[in-house]
Amino acid sequence: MLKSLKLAAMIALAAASPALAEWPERPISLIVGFGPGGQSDLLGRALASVMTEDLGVPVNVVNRPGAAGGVALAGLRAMPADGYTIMLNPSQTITLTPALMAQVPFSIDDFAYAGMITSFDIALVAPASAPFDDYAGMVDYARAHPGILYAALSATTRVFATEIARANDIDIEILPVDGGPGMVNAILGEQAMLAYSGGVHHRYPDQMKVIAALTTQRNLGSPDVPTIGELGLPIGMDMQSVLIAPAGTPDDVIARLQGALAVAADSPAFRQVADSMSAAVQFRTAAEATAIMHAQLESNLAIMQAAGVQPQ
Amino acid sequence: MTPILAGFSDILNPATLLWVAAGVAIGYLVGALPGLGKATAVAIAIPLTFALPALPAIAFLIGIAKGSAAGSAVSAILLNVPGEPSSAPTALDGYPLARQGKAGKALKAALFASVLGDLGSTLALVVLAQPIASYALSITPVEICAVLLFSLTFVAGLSAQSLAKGLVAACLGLLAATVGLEIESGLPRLTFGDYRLFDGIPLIPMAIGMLAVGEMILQAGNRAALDQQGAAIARGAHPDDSRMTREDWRRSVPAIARGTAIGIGVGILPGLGASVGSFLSYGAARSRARDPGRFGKGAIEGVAAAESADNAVVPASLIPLFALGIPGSVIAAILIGAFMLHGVAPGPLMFAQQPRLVGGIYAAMIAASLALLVIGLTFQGLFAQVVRVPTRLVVPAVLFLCVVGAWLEGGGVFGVQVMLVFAVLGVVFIKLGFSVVNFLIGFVVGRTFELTFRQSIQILGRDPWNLVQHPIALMFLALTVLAVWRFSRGARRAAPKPEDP
Repeated sequence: MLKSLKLAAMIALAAASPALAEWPERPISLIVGFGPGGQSDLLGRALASVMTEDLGVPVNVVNRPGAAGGVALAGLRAMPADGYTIMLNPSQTITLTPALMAQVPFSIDDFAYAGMITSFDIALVAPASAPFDDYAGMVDYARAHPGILYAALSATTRVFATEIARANDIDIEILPVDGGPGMVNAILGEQAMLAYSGGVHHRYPDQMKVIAALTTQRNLGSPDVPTIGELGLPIGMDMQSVLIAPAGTPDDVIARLQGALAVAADSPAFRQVADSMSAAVQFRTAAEATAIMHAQLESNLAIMQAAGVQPQ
Repeated sequence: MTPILAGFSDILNPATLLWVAAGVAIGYLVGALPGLGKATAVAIAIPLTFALPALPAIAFLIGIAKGSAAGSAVSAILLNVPGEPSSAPTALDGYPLARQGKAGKALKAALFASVLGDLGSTLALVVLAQPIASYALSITPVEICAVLLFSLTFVAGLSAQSLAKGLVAACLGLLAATVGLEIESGLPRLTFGDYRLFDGIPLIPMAIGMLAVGEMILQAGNRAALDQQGAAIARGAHPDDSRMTREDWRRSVPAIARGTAIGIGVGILPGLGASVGSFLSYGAARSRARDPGRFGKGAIEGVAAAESADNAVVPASLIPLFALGIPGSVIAAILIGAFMLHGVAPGPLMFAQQPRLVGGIYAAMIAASLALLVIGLTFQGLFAQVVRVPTRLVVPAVLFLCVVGAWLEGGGVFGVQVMLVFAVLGVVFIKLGFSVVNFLIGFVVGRTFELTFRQSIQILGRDPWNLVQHPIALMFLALTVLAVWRFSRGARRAAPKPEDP
């Protein structure tokens, strides 16, 4: 017992000591802010196995679910900035939460960003049987049939419907659903005519059609479909998987992490996992990621404010 | 059909059979450890299967899911710590049985119920996947809401002691389920500004606190009795205490049949999950019993009901996955990822494009059911030795496992805090005669009930007359009214009688 206590103390001491030049010299914890099995978890595990090979030390995935990664981010903020505790998470947990909640236990400046690896093909989708094929057709249909149902996963996803309805003076009702599977059910069961999709629609090419991309750039998986911005409503919100470290992590460590991320983006093993989840691989450097995060936060705050959403 | 039959012969490859057995064995062990659920086990195992061909890989993962669904009964029975939420009702009667020196019997009942539930559900998957699934899509939230309302009334109304207390406990459970971000607007409810409550109260720490820790607090003052009890167990009692007698089978078979049917139904309906299945099955068994007072004190059919439904949910939740490509459970959602990695797109096309693989998966699932029986019996002999350890030595170890489980499933210290709060609440409940089970059933069903209720309002266009288009929902609403009428009459009639001790 005493021995294991000593060992624990030694480990604790080691954790407290600052990063040395020869980083990494011991195992790295890659936190995933979601339970096992979801998109973030599987991507994290695929990334961890590539990083283990590239960095030469074990990279262990630690699941810390809660509040879409918010619980884990609040914890990461307090970890030593030595590069041994890092996290892979969708960017919106940082760039959108402040628009919805008055008290967020972390902020964009609490973290350093080592790069981005995938982007989400967020889109407005409809069942394949819907009597419209594009945005203009949808607006006409909704005008003729007031009260069509839009499956929304959360308060944020709901904003798209209310803004589209307001801009076109049509009536869209919200059908709350529980996560991606709930959305798939509502569309395949034709209970909803419209839905927000975070990319899962690529798995159902015969049963769903894309009406508009809800991002600022066109979706990688459906490059022919215009963005909501191109359609005259600048409310696109992007989301990427971003590699996050506590603020103050040394630059050379960030550079090594960025390198490992670049290797992962090119690795067939990682691509296979990403493809299987219809996640579009798109590598961004640490500098690009940091800039994107700040721009995204600013843009999201402006959109939500214009939509009349007050942080609660 | 022939390629599917050809697929059945693929399973006879020794390597594939070995992977099935390995999956079941790993799953059973993982399930037996409190805090490591089947979802975690399967997710962690996915990278291990990268190098395997599709059939052994999928067989391995399904084996883990099946094994851990059954294994979680072990810690529920021996330690009163459910390995995962869906085994919480197993502990309600399994642990009292173990304390009476009948751990062997309880473990066997759980295993046989698991295997039978699993096998029945797998056969349902094989025979009915396509016909049932097309029907499943026409089941809208309106029907699910009506079914849940009926189940809740049924379960709450048949509380062992009093109707009023049963309803109060169930309603408190529903109230606890409202904690977290509100589903439609995303506004936090009853979170007291604590962001860790945004996803709601985690079920495992809650169940561990109310069931296991609460029980230990109640026993703590009673050292002499515990030692005596422990000694009696260690001496080894009647051989009937460690096997299923004819009488046990007579009690269990209807519970298993009902549990399997409930598990299949719950598995097919989207978004309900294994916990709802096992709790409802337990509640149904209790309410059908001639002497519900035995439940919670070591009723063998309670164990059988909970475990058969728990295991039946796993294969049944693959029915919408195979036939429509819709995940019916967390396990199914995880398996989609695994299927895609191995180049299989779950859905109707799977039957047309890879019938041989489908046949192989079916055969592997049946093989896994049988492997579960053999592996379960082998491990049980070992596990059952736990009851020979004196209780005063077991309690600290169990408390440690409780903390570990709450820590892992509840996101760190927060999970332990939740466990402690609900341990206190559990003690208060038991002392005042409120049903902890009803509370947990209310909690487990609450979130889905609220969601489907609000979805129903939208789907019906806020006009109750539109219910006419949903005859199944109307039928269940009528049954609900009937149940309320029956229970209130029954309660009035039973009231003058002295209460069960």
